[in-house]
Amino acid sequence: MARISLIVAFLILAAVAAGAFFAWPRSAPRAPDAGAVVIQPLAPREAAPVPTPVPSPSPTRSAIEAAILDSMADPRAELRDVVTRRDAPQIACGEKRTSRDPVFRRFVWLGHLKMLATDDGSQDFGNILAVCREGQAVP
Amino acid sequence: MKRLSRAICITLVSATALAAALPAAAQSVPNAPTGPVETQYYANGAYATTQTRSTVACDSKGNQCDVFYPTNIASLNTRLPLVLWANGTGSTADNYPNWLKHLASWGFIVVATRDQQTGYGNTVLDSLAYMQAQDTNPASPFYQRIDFAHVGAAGHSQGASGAANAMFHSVGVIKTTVTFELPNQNWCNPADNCLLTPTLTGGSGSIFYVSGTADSLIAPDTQSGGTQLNSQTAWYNATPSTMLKAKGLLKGANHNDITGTPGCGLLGFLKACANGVYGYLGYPTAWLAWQLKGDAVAGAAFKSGTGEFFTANAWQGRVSNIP
Repeated sequence: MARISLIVAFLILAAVAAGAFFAWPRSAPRAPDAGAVVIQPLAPREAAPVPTPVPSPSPTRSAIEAAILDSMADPRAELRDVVTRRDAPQIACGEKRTSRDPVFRRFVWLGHLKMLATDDGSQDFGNILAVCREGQAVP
Repeated sequence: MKRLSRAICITLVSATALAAALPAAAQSVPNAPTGPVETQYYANGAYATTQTRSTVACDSKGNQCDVFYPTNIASLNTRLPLVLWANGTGSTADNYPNWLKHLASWGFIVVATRDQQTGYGNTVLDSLAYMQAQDTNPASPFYQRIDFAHVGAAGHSQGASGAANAMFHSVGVIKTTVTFELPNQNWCNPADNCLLTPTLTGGSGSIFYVSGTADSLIAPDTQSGGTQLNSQTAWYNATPSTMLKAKGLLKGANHNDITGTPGCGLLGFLKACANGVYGYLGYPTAWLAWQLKGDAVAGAAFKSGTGEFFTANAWQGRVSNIP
């Protein structure tokens, strides 16, 4: 009797576990603008004019920086102050400049989508920038 | 003890069987079609499909091309319309198998360069030239099989820019474009790797802007202001009124749902897929069928304000100038 009870209990447990596994929501779609944070418009950060950037490959460059630079397909592009989100390491934010735009401007990198946004001084970029904060929804 | 072992085995086998059966049986399909046109084109077309890859480079960057087409293409009596596909950043046709096969099943020949940086549209035009050469090569399965009077383009993310750029630089060869998740100009690196405003405002052809409501960071419906085209509405509004144009957002779809096969699978989180390709199958295919195959009923679905598209459950943010 005890064996039968044990088997029945095990079967119930297995069924509950299987049900829970498949009922678990996966990446539930978010409503429009969910997680968007309204922040004050940020004045375009006008960095001081700089000399024409020169390539400065660093042997210690992180994989994420390499991925960002690869996406720009510009051998003269440079990054600085790159910070990855601790709770979403595929997201990185920092500043970049390129051969065509030799002023450091803020950027947002979504590594899982291979997308790179550049600060144009608009509130739209401010909204994008919010994704750099820990705890924000990951697109 | 033997009984217990047997019970454990039975449980494990049952659980495995349950795991295999549940996704198919219990899955609720997101963005299901509602109207007759969407339902028609949501389903696969009548053609069995074949996929092939060029044995040589098909674009100026040295990439090969993937081609999806009806398997019985040699026995068909008519030439088939051509769709040029442009991949999103870092992607190839391998990322969009369900969508591309779906198009081929409706009688389109689909060519996709394996270029992973398609934003300029130049490699998309290269793939067109490749198919033009195939059409004149008696050894090719596409010999005299392509209807170059009916060429369209479509693309995803950076590829949406690439598809539109290809159309606007094709001097009228490409008649229409469907853009999936066309990014804000914020996301263009460098800027001209996007669809530029002067290119769009000076263009001709027709265009259908498609995005998802869960893609609000990259391809949102509306924007906060500024002079850049940072939303689907801004892209739509900047499109000349002389062009036929439409715009709609699929409810709940995120940036990568078009990569679904057709759902996102157990590993969907790796490609940031949530709902899968389902909702994208109907109206985008109907648009191409209207523009490239002359299906007037499909075209009527986009009639401004009153077409079927405007009452479809899975869509919002809809607008068109279709009379």
